[in-house]
Amino acid sequence: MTVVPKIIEAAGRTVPLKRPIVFDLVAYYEPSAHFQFTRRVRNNFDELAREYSRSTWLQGRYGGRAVMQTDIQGIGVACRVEIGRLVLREGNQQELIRSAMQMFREAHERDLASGPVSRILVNFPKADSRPREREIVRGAFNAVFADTDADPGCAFLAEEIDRLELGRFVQYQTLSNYLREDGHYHSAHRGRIDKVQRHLQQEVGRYENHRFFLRTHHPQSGQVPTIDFCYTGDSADVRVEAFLEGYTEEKVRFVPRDDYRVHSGQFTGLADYERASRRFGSLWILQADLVRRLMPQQVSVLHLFFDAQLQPELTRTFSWEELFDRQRASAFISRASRNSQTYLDMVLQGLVQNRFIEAEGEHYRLAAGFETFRHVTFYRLGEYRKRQI
Amino acid sequence: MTTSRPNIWRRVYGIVRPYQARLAVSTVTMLLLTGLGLTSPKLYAKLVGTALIEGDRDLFLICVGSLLAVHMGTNVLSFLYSYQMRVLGGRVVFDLRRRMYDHLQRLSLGFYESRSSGEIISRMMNDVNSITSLVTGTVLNTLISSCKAIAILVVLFTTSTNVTLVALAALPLHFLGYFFFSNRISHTAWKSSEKMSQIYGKVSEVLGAMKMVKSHSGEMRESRSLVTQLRESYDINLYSGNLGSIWGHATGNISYVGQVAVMLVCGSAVLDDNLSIEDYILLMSYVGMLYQPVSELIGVAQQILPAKVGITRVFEIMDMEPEIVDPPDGSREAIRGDVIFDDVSFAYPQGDQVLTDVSFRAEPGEMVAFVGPSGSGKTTVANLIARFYDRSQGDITIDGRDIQEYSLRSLRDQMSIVLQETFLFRGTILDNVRYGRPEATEEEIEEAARLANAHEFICTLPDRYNALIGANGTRLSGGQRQRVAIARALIRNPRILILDEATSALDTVSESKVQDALSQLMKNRTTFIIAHRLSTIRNANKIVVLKEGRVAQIGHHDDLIDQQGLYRELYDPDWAKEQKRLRDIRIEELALAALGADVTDPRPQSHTTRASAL
Repeated sequence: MTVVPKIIEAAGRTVPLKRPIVFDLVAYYEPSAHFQFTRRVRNNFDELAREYSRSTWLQGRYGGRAVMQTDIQGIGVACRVEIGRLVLREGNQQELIRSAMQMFREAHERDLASGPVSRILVNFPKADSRPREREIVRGAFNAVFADTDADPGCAFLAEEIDRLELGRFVQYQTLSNYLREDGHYHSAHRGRIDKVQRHLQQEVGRYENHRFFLRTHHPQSGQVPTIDFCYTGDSADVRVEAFLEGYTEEKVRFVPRDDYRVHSGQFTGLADYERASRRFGSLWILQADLVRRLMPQQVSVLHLFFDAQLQPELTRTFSWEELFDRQRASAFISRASRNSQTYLDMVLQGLVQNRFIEAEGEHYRLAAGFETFRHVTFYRLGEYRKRQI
Repeated sequence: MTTSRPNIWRRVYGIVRPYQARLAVSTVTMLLLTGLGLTSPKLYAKLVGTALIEGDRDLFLICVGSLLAVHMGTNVLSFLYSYQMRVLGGRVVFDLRRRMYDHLQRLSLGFYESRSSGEIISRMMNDVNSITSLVTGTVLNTLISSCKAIAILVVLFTTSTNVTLVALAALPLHFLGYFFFSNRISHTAWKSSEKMSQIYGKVSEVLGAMKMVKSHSGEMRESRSLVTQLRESYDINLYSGNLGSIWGHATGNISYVGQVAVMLVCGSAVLDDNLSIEDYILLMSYVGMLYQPVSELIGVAQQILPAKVGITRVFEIMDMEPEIVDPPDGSREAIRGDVIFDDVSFAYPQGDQVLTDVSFRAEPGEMVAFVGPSGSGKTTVANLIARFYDRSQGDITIDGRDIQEYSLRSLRDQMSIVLQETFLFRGTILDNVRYGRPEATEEEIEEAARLANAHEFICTLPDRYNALIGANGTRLSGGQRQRVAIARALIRNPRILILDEATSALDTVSESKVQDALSQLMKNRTTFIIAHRLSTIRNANKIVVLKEGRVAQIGHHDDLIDQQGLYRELYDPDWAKEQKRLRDIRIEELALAALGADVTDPRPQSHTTRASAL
């Protein structure tokens, strides 16, 4: 369908009619064992859905009217709402999507859903390659869900081509920094942070009026970054400092609340540092506004695209054979898989699909913009509310 | 040396190669079937176009008879062909599952810790099946359909070149369809397999932990979480099915467009008297038949794409190598049990450092206990002794020889491990004890059970040693299960014994019985014991106290209690409490000193009261 307007455009004529897009929005609510999807709730929900319904010329879930899905009787009822929005005119998109999100929120506020919104999914064709449409969705999301200034950016988790999940993210460092381990976050401090965290959790009452965090000092090339433990609160408390030093052997420095607010970018929460410095498990990587999951074996294979000094070879194209030779000698690949050709094939395929690398026939290279990819933690809406700082 | 990229189809051929004779017979059968299929239109055209029009009764009867013979022959050959395919498919699946299961037995513990059992089962059952459909249906069908298409094309070209070209005009549309659908179908097949693996993993995990699920009232939660996964799987399969169906119908329509074009050309030629009715029927039949193999090939592609996904997933497992390498000429000598750890460090692959510079010695017949807070690395030490993992740095020797120089089998044959979580196989008590040493006689088993304090309760069971104990010994109590496990360890007569929290889950009565059994078991063997209970470890010749992966203290119970370190903190709670109180006071004093307050307050106040006042 997009070919015809392009041909006409090429002939020098403007084509005002755009291809209509159907945005299919789904909200999941926190399930609750106590919530009953009674006739009263059902009727009230239908009324709310009518208030927010929009004509879309379509049937079914794209019909413009919200539908409360009941997965199984008695379990998780009223925990999923679907609503479709057909958009013909560009100017209308954000308003229509915003109204759908407003409805999701209102359903909870009027006690018509099992709990607060825990996830929001948006489906539209080729969603992961349409930044303009994503921007519109993000605008609508921010208008409805940006409750506090402290809310960080909104990002889209891309698990499918057509389906994205909206959520928050906390960003740490570039993926290259992570792979080289030469940024602010270093696993060498994990033991110290773990000790402090454990102590803080054991002695909750003693520290309840204070908030603890870290200040990192950028390392010189080839050196491990240093960290200072800091805390903030109404005023400095020598007992807090003494106890923490006595039990964890870590000196903590007081940062006045105002300073903390002004320079909050310089500080990192203990839990965030712990997450950012993990050298195991999968990673969330932010590519522009899309977050993609990078599996542990993919992290290992990405090292094959780095040189001996662990610098990404951004412009170099590798043949499959070159990569396999590197894999066999790589300390980053598990010994069990080092000689496996299928392993390399499978992981490369996953990396191409998630756009960490690009393939040209049998040749591969790091994706354009690789140096801007950032290591983040993606939080679903519900998870972000509950996250530990 | 550069290795060239592997060809998946060559590997599939490697699996089928042992059955190439059967494959050849199947191919010949299928070619005969194709040949017979080609004669039918000819006979039918002759029957309608000549025999009936010219009133030739003899020719008519010959044609009818021949059609009957061709039809019956086709059915007989079809039966033979499908029989060969069933045998071939069954054997390929049998071979592949056996090889995969053998391979799984060789893989190291690290592999099982990184994947769920359900995922592995899914690969072994579902994905292997996809290879069968590929071998039995797809590969051969591709060959046959290609042969059929070529044969029909030859016949068509010899009959009428123009008509053939018209018929082929629709072919590029099929290629377009292939390019449009193939990637999408591959991708959804991948997702479907992954989702199925997740579902298998989830189900096997939850079923294995049913007691825990019920005790946490998690039944509804688990149902919901599975429903979510099932719905995602349903969505993927529906999408995949729809794609296949759309592709199939599009193929049918494209083929029909080709037939209609030929119909128009040939029909016009008949109306203009340039073509006889007989030739018209013949050409239309062949053109119809030409598109049949094309449709079959498209259908084959729809099967190949998901099958390729399945094969890749199977090969991924088959290509993995055990991380613990068994030396080809490893020592099989009997060991005495002199174990030395010399500055041993260990980190799990892509994980944090677990052990750092751990050194100790266990002399033959000694009992060495490991104690320390959770996560201090006690079990990791045991795993290194059993060589479930290889150390990252340092040396581990047994009787002066590097642990990696021993044959894995010989080493583990001379060891026994009793874990906190006892695993018993479904079957009888006899089978379970005999698992330790398959050649053990019933007398030896009874003797082991007596030493393990298990004989007494076994005799109260209806079938004694032949009593069925259910999956994982569910019909026995925790203490009874543990004693069966100890009997299983005893019957091996090991030189090295590892007891990892073997009694921590038991009540006092069961523990005392198990403890008695263990003291029998530990006689004259090097024993490594991990336990929290003081009663279990106080008699150890050596106690290694671990803290955050390092050796904090080492010595005998009495010495360690005197040292006032971590060991005493762990095993003398009153002392530990007092230490903590004193420490709090010391820190308070430091804090007050820092504040500039007078620490030597004249008021008659104990340290404790001052601390609590603060």
